[in-house]
Amino acid sequence: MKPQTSVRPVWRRALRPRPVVQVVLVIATAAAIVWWPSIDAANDRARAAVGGTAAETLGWVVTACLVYLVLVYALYAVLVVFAGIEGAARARQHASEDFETLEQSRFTIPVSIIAAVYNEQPVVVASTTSLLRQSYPEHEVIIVDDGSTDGTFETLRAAFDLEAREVFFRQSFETRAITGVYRSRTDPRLIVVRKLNGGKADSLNCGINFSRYRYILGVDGDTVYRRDALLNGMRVAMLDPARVVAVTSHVAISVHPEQQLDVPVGRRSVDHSLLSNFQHLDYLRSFMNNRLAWSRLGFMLCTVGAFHIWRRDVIEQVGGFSPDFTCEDIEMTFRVHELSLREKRGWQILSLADTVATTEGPATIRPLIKQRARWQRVIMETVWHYRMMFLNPRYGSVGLIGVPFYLITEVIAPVFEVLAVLVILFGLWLGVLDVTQFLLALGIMCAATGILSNTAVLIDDRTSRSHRLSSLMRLMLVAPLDLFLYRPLLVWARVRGTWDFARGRRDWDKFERNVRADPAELGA
Amino acid sequence: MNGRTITLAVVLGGLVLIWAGSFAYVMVTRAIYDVQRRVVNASERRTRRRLASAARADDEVDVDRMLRRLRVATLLHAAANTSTPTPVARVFSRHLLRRAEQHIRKLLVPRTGGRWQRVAALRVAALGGLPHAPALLVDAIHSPDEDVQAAGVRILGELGTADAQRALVETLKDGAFARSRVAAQLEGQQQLSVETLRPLLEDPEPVVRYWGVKLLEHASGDPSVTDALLAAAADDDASVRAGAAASLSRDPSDRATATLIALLVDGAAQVRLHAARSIGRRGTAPAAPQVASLLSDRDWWVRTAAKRALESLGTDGVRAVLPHLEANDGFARNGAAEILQNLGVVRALVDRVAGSTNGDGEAAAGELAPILAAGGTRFASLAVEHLDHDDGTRVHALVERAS
Repeated sequence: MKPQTSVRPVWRRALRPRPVVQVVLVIATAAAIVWWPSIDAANDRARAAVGGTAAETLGWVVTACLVYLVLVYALYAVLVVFAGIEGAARARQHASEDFETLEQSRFTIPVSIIAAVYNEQPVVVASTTSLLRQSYPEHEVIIVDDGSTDGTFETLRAAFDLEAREVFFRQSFETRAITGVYRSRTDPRLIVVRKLNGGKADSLNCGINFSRYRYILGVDGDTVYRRDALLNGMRVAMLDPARVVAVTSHVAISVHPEQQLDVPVGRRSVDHSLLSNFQHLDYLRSFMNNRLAWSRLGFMLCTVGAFHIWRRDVIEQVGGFSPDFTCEDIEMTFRVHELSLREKRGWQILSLADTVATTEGPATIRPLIKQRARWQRVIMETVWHYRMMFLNPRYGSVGLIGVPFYLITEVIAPVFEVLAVLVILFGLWLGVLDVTQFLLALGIMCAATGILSNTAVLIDDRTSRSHRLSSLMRLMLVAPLDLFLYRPLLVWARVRGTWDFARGRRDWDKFERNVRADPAELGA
Repeated sequence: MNGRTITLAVVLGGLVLIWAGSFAYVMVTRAIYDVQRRVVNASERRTRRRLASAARADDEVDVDRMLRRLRVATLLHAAANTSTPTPVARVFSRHLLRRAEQHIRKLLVPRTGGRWQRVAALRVAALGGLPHAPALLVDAIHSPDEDVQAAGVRILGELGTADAQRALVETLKDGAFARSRVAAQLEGQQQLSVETLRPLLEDPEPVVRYWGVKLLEHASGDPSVTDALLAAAADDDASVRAGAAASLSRDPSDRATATLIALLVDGAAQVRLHAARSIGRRGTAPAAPQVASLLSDRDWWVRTAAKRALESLGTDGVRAVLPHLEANDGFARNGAAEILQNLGVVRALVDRVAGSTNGDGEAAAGELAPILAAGGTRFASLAVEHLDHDDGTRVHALVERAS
């Protein structure tokens, strides 16, 4: 029997107005019908007053928005070419890699996996199990519970038979106070550290203090990992450990990642929720079209918090993860680039095309906006902090291409997005908007988004062949609708994130865990 | 319709065509892949079944007939893919050479854009038994292309012949490819002898000697291996000595034990670290006191290694750490207490004290007192966490009195 979840389809919730909203809508409609003639007359007078100059200004704004739009799509198109080359090369490397030998070799470098968890109760056991099940010769798993309040620790304790231990360690980094250290009786490779809430960067630093090995894999507690995830990442790091200091890889998304734990390659299905599909496509475009190209061109701008392998000595040299930023991953990437390029160390940060894990994505709109607002905020924090790298030849491709790319596609994007919406509204009001041209322009944007999505799906499929054919079809068919159903949410999130940045907010704004079906119901 | 509208319409039409084309391309290529994969999987299964059953003279003919239904390109892809097991890939390769040798030979020639076809052809040539395949693999290792190099190393490892081993040793020596990868291929070889590794052990470059010494562990137990390792343990270079210390972990001889104990006081931290680890792995009880003295080593990694090694030594580790409960060095005291906790000594003593009546727990309390003092306040409270409050308080009172 197919498991039923209590998460209702997103469109149904989105279209179901609350009682207060219903009342307001009815009153507003009635008022508009009654007073429409007078409103219309007032509008005509206003249009006549501002008509000439406003239309001219509008023309300039439209031109600016179009230039920006063409520039952004052109940048993405160029990146897709490099991403395709990189993706194909990585797929072939993967097919010709000797995983069996590596998996058994004593010369494979041991790794400490550090998972920062905060209120991950529904997923934490599946996530930890997937980390312990890595097909890797030697690794330890350190779960840092950052003051969870939802029973995360109790769930871990019951699942892995944790026993309180005192562990004396070298404090490489200052962190919030530790309240307990536990070791699993069933698997001694698992250590759980409980500490006062201090954020993800603080938790990762705490995990490094406890780690025994010279490589660190930072992961998230709401993500379920494939058995070969670590080996996939480390095989690249081990080829040139002197230069390759960090490796990241593609992470897929699902409303319930724990259900993806044992799905065989080629049998994976995407969620039935449209919101989840759009996020899936968003991740694919970001990883396959952008990060692969960044990696190929030598300016990987962001390792992914859910899967980032680092050489421990590099983290120590730059002073550990910084709790001064909203998120730690992107800032650490910039900091390592900055040091490497300033001191000409020749370090490399690589991104792979392999899908190494499935992370939990928000199932509803409100948490999605919270999450994306946070991402926008951290990009702005980082770009602002490292603004000295902008167009600075000293910082090579990172300064000359990477930072300007982020500035154009992420930092100033909200300005143009808001401008575009205002132009449309103003144009409609003035009656100068050519509806045919407007619809054609919208169609062009939809098609362009669809093409970019298709290339991302293609690169992913050629690399992993993980999804069913029907899932690929669904993803590509919904992609053109992104502009109408998903992009507006992101625009709002970006505006909110920009505003939060301007206000100096630093909260994590973690989204609430998705609702799970009652295990009893599942059993039934 | 004005000019701008027409332009927009044309652009839209073009983009829609591209979108539809890319959609169709993804769907069709994936569908073809799925069908081919199914056919290849079926062929793999049938080949495996035939290999498992008793060999018959007409087996190859039978397999040929079955594989002939697949395209050369598909078979080449399947034969080159490392997920195809070597025995099956060997059958596929022989078939491909019988069916399209000229084509495979053409692919073996280095040319621009033909990297992956060359990689595939190399595996087919090697597993199919083309006479000059080993020479081609050596050429591949010296190619400027890293992917071709990697394939050369991997396929030589897969061949596993004496010639292939010698070629890998040469690659390790000249550093043409990542040494850890080459070593991983050699590590998996059957009958890797000291003689094969001799060129590495006698190389003037320390890094080459290091890898030679690390690979010797694979053949531990042989007296000539022990001789080579003991010689390496006296090498001028610290990394070679560290490698020797690591490789001695599987050598049960007394000479190895004496050498490892001597290496515990080596000037280089990495040597002390590997010596301590090896002693832990071998369970060399007589070395426990010397390992325990490393709890106050100046290098943090050595201290941690010593802690782990002592835990592995069990009862002997317990005896060795007791004097360190009152060491001047804080980490040594903490470390000693932690080892006793992890070995269950603290729990056993606490339970003896808690379960005592008529004062017979005083001796246990006396033993427990220095451990709790070495561990600190949190350690002490954690030690009685499993007891109820009254018992915990009583244990602490007894320990207090005893100390």
